[in-house]
Amino acid sequence: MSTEPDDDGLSWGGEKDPTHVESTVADEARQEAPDVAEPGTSSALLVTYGVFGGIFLLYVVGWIIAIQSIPAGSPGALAAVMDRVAEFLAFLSPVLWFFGVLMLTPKSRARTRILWLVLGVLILAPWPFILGY
Amino acid sequence: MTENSSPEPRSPIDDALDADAIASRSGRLGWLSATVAAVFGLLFAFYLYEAISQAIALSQYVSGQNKLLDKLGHGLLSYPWIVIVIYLLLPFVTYGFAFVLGRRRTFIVRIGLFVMALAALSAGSLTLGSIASAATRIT
Repeated sequence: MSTEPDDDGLSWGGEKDPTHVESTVADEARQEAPDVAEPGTSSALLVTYGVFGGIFLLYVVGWIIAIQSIPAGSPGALAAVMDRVAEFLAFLSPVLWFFGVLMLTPKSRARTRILWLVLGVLILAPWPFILGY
Repeated sequence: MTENSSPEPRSPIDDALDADAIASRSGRLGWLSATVAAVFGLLFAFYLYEAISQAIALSQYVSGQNKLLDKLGHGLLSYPWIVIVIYLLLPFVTYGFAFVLGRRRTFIVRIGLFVMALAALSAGSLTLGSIASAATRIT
């Protein structure tokens, strides 16, 4: 590899091209590259989010089944309307939580997001269905 | 590409949203956010009312059943205190979380947080109500 400008005519000219595999410039470019999420990491994260999405979808089904067996609450027209609203929100809660966490924490670290999703998995589980009440 | 030099007409809603965003950034509560917080507060209060109603109804049911069970010489039912206390505290906790997490956020995000909290409260209330009923069921 030539270093003198006079010898440029004898080289292939790839030393300064970062896309050239054997170029020293390419090594430097790789070392100076900012910290970007590796493709492997983001794929794993996507799979993790997919797993959480699947769990929350199952929860929706669980809530729909659970709501069928939950007795009516307080008497009265307003109470009846609020009961329907509560049931509707209860079976939508896993979906709202999942998309809410993903949309409201765009700048958070992946660990923070996953912790929020785990919290949702614990508190939004259709316990009446799981426990058989 | 040519640009239109005249600014787009602003609606009162845009002005209200801007005023609310400025208030939010300085840690205060704009009137729009305050209205939303109050409306959601009423909804959360209804869940508290439901929890109090169920706690009283369950108490009357348990005492009535216990009188009967005592006469028959069976074991008495115990009042599910822990479940009822959590049931009563849940509206305050969920509203508090939504309110605190929504500080310095935009108006839309605040509404989103309140809806999420209300949905979590609905799921939690149904769960705790079911557990309380099941715990006092005579088997």
